[in-house]
Amino acid sequence: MKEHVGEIIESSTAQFTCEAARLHSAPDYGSLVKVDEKDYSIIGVVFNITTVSADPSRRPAAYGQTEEELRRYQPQIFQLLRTYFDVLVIGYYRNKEYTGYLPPQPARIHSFVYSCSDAQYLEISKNFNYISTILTSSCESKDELAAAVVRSISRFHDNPADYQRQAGKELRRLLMADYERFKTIVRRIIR
Amino acid sequence: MRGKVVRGSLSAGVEVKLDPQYTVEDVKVGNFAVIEGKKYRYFSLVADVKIESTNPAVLVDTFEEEEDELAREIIVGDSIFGSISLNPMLMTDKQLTGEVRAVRTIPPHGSPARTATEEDVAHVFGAPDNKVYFSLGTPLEMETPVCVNLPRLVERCTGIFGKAGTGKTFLTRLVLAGITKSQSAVNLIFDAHNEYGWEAAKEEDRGDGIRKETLVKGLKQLFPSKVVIFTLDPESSRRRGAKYDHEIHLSYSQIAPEDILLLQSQLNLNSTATETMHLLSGKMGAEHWFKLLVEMDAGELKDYAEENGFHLGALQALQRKLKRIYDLSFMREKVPFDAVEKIMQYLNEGRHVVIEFGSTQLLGYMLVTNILTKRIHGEYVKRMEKYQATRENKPPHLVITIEEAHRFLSPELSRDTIFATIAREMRKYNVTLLLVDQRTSGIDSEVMSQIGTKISCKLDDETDVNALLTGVQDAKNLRNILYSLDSKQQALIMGHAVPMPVVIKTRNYDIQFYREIGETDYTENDKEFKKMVDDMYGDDIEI
Repeated sequence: MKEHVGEIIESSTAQFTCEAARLHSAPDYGSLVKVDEKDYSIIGVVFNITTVSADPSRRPAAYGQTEEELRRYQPQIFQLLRTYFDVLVIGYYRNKEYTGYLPPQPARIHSFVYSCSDAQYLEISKNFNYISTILTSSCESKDELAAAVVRSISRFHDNPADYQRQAGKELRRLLMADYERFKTIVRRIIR
Repeated sequence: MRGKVVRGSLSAGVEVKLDPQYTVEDVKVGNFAVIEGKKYRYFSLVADVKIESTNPAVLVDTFEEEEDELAREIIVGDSIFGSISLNPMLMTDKQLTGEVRAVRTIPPHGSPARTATEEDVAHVFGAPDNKVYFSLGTPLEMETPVCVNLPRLVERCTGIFGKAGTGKTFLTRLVLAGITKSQSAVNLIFDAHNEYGWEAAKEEDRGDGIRKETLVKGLKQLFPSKVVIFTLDPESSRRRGAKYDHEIHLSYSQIAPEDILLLQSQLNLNSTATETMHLLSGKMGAEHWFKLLVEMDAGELKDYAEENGFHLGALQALQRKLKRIYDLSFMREKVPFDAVEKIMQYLNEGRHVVIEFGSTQLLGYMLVTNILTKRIHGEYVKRMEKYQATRENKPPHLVITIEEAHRFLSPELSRDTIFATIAREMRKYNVTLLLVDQRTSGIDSEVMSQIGTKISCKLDDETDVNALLTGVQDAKNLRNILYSLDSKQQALIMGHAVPMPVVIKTRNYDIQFYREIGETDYTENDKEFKKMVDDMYGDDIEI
């Protein structure tokens, strides 16, 4: 069994928040993760990765030392830090079939979150619904996120340029009325 | 080309969005397209080609920056796409078994459209058989012959138009050869520039920039037994080495005041001159007035004016002007035979008559054409009426070809000339016109509207184009097509003899054409000749 990358600490239908399994080890921004539930596996994209104090009332202070020095002389402070990341739900598997819309129930709290396999990346990427899900979500810098997801998914394809083109067509369909926004996203896809 | 119908109406035509892999450059105005509807197949003409977009902001983006390459790939073809306007013209059932009818509905949204195949064209225009269907050329970029229906062509008046040097003469020669070959009518050709009877020069540019003059065969050479040539200028015929069968002369007694009227502008006659001529013809007799007036000397003229109350100056002016006609080389006191009778005789036998004018000036051409046509028209009316009474000896259908048609059919003159009468009503009497002209705007609009089949080479002048398209359905789109014609070997055919308007590349008038059309079977000749050589020298000689 693969090691989990995080655990859900806050959950709703459209998105959930996880604590990363280890400090500074959240999955990449724009990568795909999954949560296995009883009847289905929920799939989402990672965004908004934060590392903050575990205790909201105590703020980390600047020490003026490098991380190496800090680890040697003040190892305890790293015990007080946590890495969190948010996941935007884009679809789910039921009976091994992927559907590109929201699951009937949110992910259960304290469920483990895993990275998606290469095969899952390929399967999920065939459904372009995730683009509209991202663009209509309320998360921060969603245009950036859409481009990042396309970039990360296209890496799993034999012909990334071709996949980017297909995704671009979906973007065009959604954003024809806002051409400048379309172009801004497309410019980020190819980098 | 492939695309899908995205919008349309029966009156304005349908819009087709090109599939992304095709660009506007794959489609040309005037080409054929077929739309596959759910129940019918539609034959259409490409009327317009446009670049369109779902969002106007996209159109102004030129994608010049390097990082916009992906955006360009995504946008061009889908968001910026080629759109073509098609005019559905004809429809038939999907199996192509039923008849081809004019469109009464349009294909549903999303119907696939494509470039017409050779098979489609053949289905619409018929296969050439040189009896009913006669090939005039091929559609642009296709090799399938486009045929006109000759019996329908001769049934009504036909016009062949186009500015000078665009190939009118060749088209006319093709049509005349077709009519002659099929025997769908007999031709009477007033050949003002000696181009149809015997051979004529053809200018050719074989792409190397050097103009070559070659000689092409005339009707008489193609159909020696069916064509008779009359000439008004035997001198010129002899100089050109052209063969002719008869000379034509006109006698002074054949000239009536109405004939002179037609020459009003050439002779610079005023309106009183007309009245004077009528008076003279009344007083001196219809057969004698012309000769008597022109041959009077100054004294006689003065006496005559005084005696009969004419204004001397007017009479002198008239005499001076009529002298020009009197001096024409083919005018005679007495003629050896009546030209009209002879022509009628040939026509009745189903022979085609070409009247050559040699170097005769326009004045003579107009005079002769008018006088002969008037008489032949009279004869035809008589014979048709007789036929209607007795139901026997029906005169053959006659097609009269006139060049410089606007001279006879201008709005000012068309009331008086025989040609307007023929254009308007002679269908009943089995006579129709084949007008050849370069100035459609000079032809009376009433006559223009009676023309059944219009064949037009390139026309530039807007008034000419307007005149040509008067009363034509869907004139707006045809106008685009007309302007887009090449100035050589291309023509737009529309009207009675074709099921739908079509742009053609005129077929070549060459050896192959002679072989197919001509009376003489050249292949047969070659075989005979080879056999003869074989007999004489044995089989091993190659020729």
